[in-house]
Formats: sequence, structure tokens, C-alpha cells
Amino acid sequence: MAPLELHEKVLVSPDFLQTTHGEIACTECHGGNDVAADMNQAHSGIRADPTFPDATATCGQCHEEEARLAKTSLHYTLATYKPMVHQRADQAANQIKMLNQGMDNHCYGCHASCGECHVSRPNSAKGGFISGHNFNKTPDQTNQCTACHGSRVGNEFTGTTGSGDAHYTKHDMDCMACHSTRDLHGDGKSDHRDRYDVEGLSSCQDCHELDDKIEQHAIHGEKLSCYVCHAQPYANCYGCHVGLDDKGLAFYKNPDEEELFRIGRNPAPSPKRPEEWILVRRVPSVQTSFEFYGKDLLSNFDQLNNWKYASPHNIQRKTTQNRECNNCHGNEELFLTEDKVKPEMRKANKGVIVSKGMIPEKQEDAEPKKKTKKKSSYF
Amino acid sequence: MHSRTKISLLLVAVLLLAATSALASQCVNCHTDVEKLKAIAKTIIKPVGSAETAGKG
Repeated sequence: MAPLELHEKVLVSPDFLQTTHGEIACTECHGGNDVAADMNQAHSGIRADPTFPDATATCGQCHEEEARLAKTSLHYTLATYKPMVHQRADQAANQIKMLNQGMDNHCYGCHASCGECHVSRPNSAKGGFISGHNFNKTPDQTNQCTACHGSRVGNEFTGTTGSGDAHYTKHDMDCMACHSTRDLHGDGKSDHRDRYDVEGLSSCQDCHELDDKIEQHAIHGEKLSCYVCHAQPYANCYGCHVGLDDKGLAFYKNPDEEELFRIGRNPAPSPKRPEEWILVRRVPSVQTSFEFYGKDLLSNFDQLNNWKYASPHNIQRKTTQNRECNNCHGNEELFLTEDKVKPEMRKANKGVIVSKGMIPEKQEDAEPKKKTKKKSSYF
Repeated sequence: MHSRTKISLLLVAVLLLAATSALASQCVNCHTDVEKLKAIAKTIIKPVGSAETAGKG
């Protein structure tokens, strides 16, 4: 994504002024002082993004339902971050306070307001209008979705790393082809445990029937999540640390990254996710991730597993693991066995670790796929 | 209220509204003018991120 020049970020297109939104006086949403000749005075009290932290007074004047949903949308609130991180934390009040400061500096800048999905690049991606202040009903994949979801999801989806996702590479589908408005605006609830908890979240089955005419579907049924057969190796980062440099600017360092493929056990089967086998991805954070802000802030790091349910966005119909039965069956390398988990985290990951006895057995009578003979050239 | 007073008040309100609208368009006059914005941008120090950031975010 090419950077925007400073002037481009605030350049309003004349055609925007002909739109419904463009007919509203600027100050009605943005505030500021529209009678001042001096720029600094004109910008006094201005709200660059008047849709955050509350869109009720702006978007909500016409889009009441959307503004209401925004208050509990995970894109807007990132509400699952703190509960999750706090479970790993030292519970002393002063420790939590320091941890929260760290999270405010590094984690909570990545929210997406109405404006950051429909008008401009997200602030965490340095902001700026993407089409002259025009309001786009559908967010832009490059300038908005993958501006934040770029380093893993975006790269895997587009094929910047790996072979890409067939939905994009072969069928020209972007993020919004699968991710409904409901996925982004939310379900109005505020008790989500994680991002997969949103009611009515889009899924493969919205378009793809688990067709028994396909032999592997008939055999495996709902035992496997779709990703186990159809995803490719995906980025697993590790060792993230955050802090402020000597100029007071926030930084993160994510030193380790590996392309891995790990099948784990589903630790909490549910009606939404009934599969026995899932893919798991290692979370980047470690016990010392916030040590810049205080010692032992995450002293209970091992309270939660750090190999989590994963939905890699690099789907292909044919993959290495589904090419032949025994590319998966009996192949210990693909499974999250205990030796692949750090000793101090084995207890926490007990629910997802696959013991060697659990690995589906090699299929002795599985016929290897016949290798087709290459046609020889006449020349 | 006397009808003449009412008319005067209405006229004042209309004039105020017209004046406000004309002044509000100053936002638009600046923000639709590429050259003006470029000139202002030259005077602004570009914000930079920390040089210590490394790896995937």
C-alpha cells in the first residue's frame, strides 16, 4: 500500500460535495471554527474522526442502527483484548494499571471506527482519505481491511506469502465477498469471548455445502475443520515485545516468525465449532511482552493456551495434506505434539496438544494417487 | 408580537444563516485546493513511527 502524501490525506474531492454526506456542513460533524481565517484557529476543537469513540451524534443521526451496533462491535471496541490479557496477568492493582497503560499505548490504537472503514485509511495505518472524503459502502480491501489485517491475513490471502487464497487468486473475491456487514458491525452483544463468538459470523458453509459426494467429505464429515484440509502453512509469530523509544514513540518487536501448519484438538467443541480437529496458530505474545511497563506483569501467562484456533486465509482446493491420505494420517509433523510446545506452556495448551497416540493412523490400504505420465514432446 | 418585529427578526435570521453558510464553505475552499494544501503540507513536520519497530505487526 503506497503511502499517501500529507496533502492527499485531507484533500476533499469536489464530487463528494454533491453527495448526501457532502451537503452536510463540515463543522456539523468535525467541529472546529468555520469563521476563522487562520488555519490553527479554524482547526481549534476539531475532531478529525468524529465517528470515534461514539458515532451517535454524527453517523447515528441517520444511521441509528449502525451507530448503535458500533458501540459493541469488536472492530470498534477491541473488547476481547483486555479480558484475555488480564487472565494472564498479575492481578495486583498496580500491576494491572501498568499493564493497561501498555495496552493503551500499543493495542488499542488498532480500532476501526465508521470513518476508518468507510472514508479513510485507519489511523494505525497513518490515516488519510482514500477517495476524497467520499463514503464507500463497502470497505476497500487494500486501503482499509489489509491496512490493519495485512501482515498475516492479507499476505496469506493475496499470495504475498505462499500461494494465496483461491477465493482471491482465482475468483477475484475480496474480503467483503465473505465477511458480511454483520461480521464487521457486530451482533449488538457485548459478551464475546473472542472474535469467533460473533453471532451469525460468516462461514464456509454459507456458500459451500459439505457434500457427501466428495469422498473425503463423506469420510471426515464434521470431524475436521475445513482449514485442516484446505489451508496451507501460515505465519506463526513469537516473542513480541512492546515499549517506547527514547523519543517516546511506541514500538513493537516481533522477532520470530515461522511458516507452520499445526493440527490441534478442539479444546471446546460447540454447536458453532463442533470439529474434533482444528488448526492452531501460536500467539505472538510471551510472558515478558510488556516488561517495558513493569516486571512480571504477565506472571500468570500460562493460565491460557498460546496455541489458538486459527482460520488461515490461504485456502486452496488441493493442498499437500489432502492430496493423499497418508500425507496427514500418521504424519506427526503436521500435528501439535507436546515436543513442539515449550515445556512451560504444555500444561496451558493441554486442551489442544495432540498426543502421539491420538494421531490418526497411517492408512495401510490407502492407494497412492496414480502419477500421470507427462506427455513427451515431439520436438 | 408586532408583525413588523416578526419580519425584522426573520430577516436577521436569514442574513445570519447566509453569512454562516458562506463562511462554513471556507473549510471546503481550502480542502479542495490541491496547491493550497501542498503549500501547507510543506510547513508540517511529517509524523514518523519509531525506528525500533521490527517484524510483523
